[in-house]
Amino acid sequence: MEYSECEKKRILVANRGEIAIRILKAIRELGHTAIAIYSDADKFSPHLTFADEAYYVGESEASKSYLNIDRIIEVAKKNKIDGIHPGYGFLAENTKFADVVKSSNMVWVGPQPKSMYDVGNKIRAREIAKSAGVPIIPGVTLGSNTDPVDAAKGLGFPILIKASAGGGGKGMRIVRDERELIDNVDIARKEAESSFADPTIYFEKLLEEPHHIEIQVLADKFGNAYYFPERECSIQRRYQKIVEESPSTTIDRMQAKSMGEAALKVIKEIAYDSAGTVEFMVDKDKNFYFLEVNTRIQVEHPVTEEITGIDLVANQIEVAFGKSLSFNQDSLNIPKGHAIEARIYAEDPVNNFIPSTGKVDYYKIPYGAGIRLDDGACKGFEIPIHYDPIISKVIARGKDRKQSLYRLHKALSDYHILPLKTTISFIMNIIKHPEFIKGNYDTNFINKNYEKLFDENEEYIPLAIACYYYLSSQGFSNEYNLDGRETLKECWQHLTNFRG
Amino acid sequence: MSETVKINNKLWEYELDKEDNCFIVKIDGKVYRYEIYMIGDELFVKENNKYIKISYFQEKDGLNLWAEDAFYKISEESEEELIEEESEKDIKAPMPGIIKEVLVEVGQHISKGQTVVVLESMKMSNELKASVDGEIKEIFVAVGDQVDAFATLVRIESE
Repeated sequence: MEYSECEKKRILVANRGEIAIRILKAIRELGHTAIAIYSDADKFSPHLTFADEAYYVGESEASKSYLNIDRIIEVAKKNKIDGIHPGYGFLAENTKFADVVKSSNMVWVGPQPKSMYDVGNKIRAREIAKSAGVPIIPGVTLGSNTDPVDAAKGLGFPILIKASAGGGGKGMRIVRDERELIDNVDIARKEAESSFADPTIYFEKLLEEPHHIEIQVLADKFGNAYYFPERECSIQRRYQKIVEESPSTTIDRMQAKSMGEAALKVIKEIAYDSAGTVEFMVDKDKNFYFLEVNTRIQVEHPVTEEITGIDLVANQIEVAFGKSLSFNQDSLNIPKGHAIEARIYAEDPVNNFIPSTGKVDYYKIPYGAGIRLDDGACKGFEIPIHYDPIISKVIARGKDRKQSLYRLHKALSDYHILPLKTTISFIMNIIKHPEFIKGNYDTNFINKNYEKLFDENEEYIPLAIACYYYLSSQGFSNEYNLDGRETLKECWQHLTNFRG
Repeated sequence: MSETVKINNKLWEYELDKEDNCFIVKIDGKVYRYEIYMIGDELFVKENNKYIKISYFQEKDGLNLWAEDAFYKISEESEEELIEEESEKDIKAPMPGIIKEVLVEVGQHISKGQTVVVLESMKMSNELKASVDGEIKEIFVAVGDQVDAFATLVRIESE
C-alpha cells in the first residue's frame, strides 16, 4: 500500500538505532526508497529491517563507520543516492559533511551549511541572538588579554565556565568564588582544547532555579517559518536530558508565544530552512535567555509531534527536497493535550550509570492508548559498546498532563528488558515524585532528590515470594505447562468479580 | 519453619504455607494470602479482591519478576558469593569495552591512584586506576582488544 504518490527519491539515513528506524519509516511513508547503512557491530541491527536497501560502511568504531565521511559519501555515490538524512549525533551537525553532501549533488536533509556554521560555535551563536534582539545570559568571552578574575567579578559569582566550541554539557564547570575560578580556568581551557580543538572559553552568569525550555521550529525554502509549543527539558542528569514534556508547567501561553517569536527571530537571522530547535534558559522570575540552536532533529521531537499531530521528520525531508510547508502558525499555538517522553538508556543507575551492554534475552514492549515507543532494540540483539547507550524513547500522550503521566508510568511498568540494566525504574521514580507530579521542578531536580530516585518499591515483596514459590513448584517454565484453556476456566471460576 | 530468599540484593525471611489454591506468606508477623494462576506466560494473582498481572522471566542467576511498577530479582541465598576477594588489587573492566591505552609494563612499579588502563565504552573513556601501590605482574590485554565486563586486565602485586 502506498500513502504518497511522489517522485521516488533514494534517501540514505546516515545513522543507526532508534532514530534511524524513525527516519527510515518516514521515508517509506512518503513513498521514497529508504536506505540504511551499518557497521560491523550492526550487521544484525533492527534498523536494517526497516530499510529497502542497506550498505556496509565500515568497522564498528564510529570513526570508521558512522563518522566516516569519505566512506559514507562513496557508498552514497555508488548507489545513486538523492539525499542524506543525518539523524542526530554522529555527523548531524558536521558542517563539512553537509558541504560534501551538497557538493556531491545530493540533498542534505538539514539546514544550509552556512546556517550550521553560524550557530555551531556558542560565542558566535550568542552574537547572532543578540543582534536579532533576543536576550542572552549575561556573559563574557575570555580573550587572551582578559583577566579571568576581573571578568568574573564583573558578572558576579556563581558563574558557569563553558567551551565556545562545546556541546552536550562537555567542559562545563560551575565556580562559586575566586579561588574555585583560579583553580578551574586553565583546566577548562585544556579540556576545551582536547575535546573540541579550540581552547576558547567564556563565562556565563549561573541562573538560579533555571529551567531548560526549548522551541521547535520548522522552516522551508520559501520564507515560511513556524514555531511549535515549548518543550520543558529540565529533568537532566549531567546536562543530559532524561524526561521531556510539552507543554511546560512553568510558562503560560503568552510566554510561550514570546519565546516562539524570539526563536523565529534567531533562525531568520541565519536564513534557516529546516527543522531545528532554539534552546532557552528560563530563570525563576520567568525571564528567558537564548542558549543555543540545535540544527538537527532532536531526540525529544516526538513530544511535539504528539501534541500537534505534525510529523516533523517527514516535513524536514519534504522541505529539504523543496516542498513548502502546508500549515500555518495558528494551527500550532494551542497544544492538543499533553505529551511526555522518557529516554531509556542501557545504563545501570545503581552503579553510577555505567553503560550496560550485551545481548537482549527478554524484550517486552508497552502498548495501549496514547503510548508511542520509538525503539532500536529487539530480543536477541546485542547492544554494541561502540555507540550511545540509548535503547528507546517511550512517549505518552493524554488529554491533560495527569493522564499522560499516568499513561507513561503504566507503560514503563510494562516495559521489560533483560538482562541489561536500564534507566526504566529510575525514571519511574522521577515521575512518581510529588514535586514532579505538581510540575514543580527545575534543572536541579535530580541532584536535589538523588537518594530518593533509587528507592525500591517493596510493596509487592510478599506477593513476589508467593509467585517465586509457585513458579519453583512448576519448574520455572515460561511455557504453557497446563492446558491454557483449562487454567483460564479454573481461574475465571475463582475470580468472582469478573463477569464473562 | 522460616526460610530466606534474596530479593534485589536484600535478604527476606518468610514462612510459607499452601492451602488449596491459596499461598500464605508470613513476613514479620504479617500474613498475606494469594491465589495464583498461570495464564499464558504470565501469572494472575488475586489478593483480597484485587487482581494483579505478573510478568516473569527465569535466568540462570534467579527469577525476574515484575509486579505493577516494581521489579524484583529473586534468588536463593548463596554462600559462594563472598569468596571472591583475593584479586581485589587487579585491574578489572567495570563494563564491556575496548582497550584504548595500556600505560604500564610488566615489572613496573606503580602507585595507588595511577592510571593503568584506559577503557572506552559507549563513547566514554574510563581511566582504570591502581587501588594499591604495587608491581605489575602480568598484562592480559593489548590496545584494541575488546573485553567483557569484569574481565581481569592487569595483575598487580601489592607492596
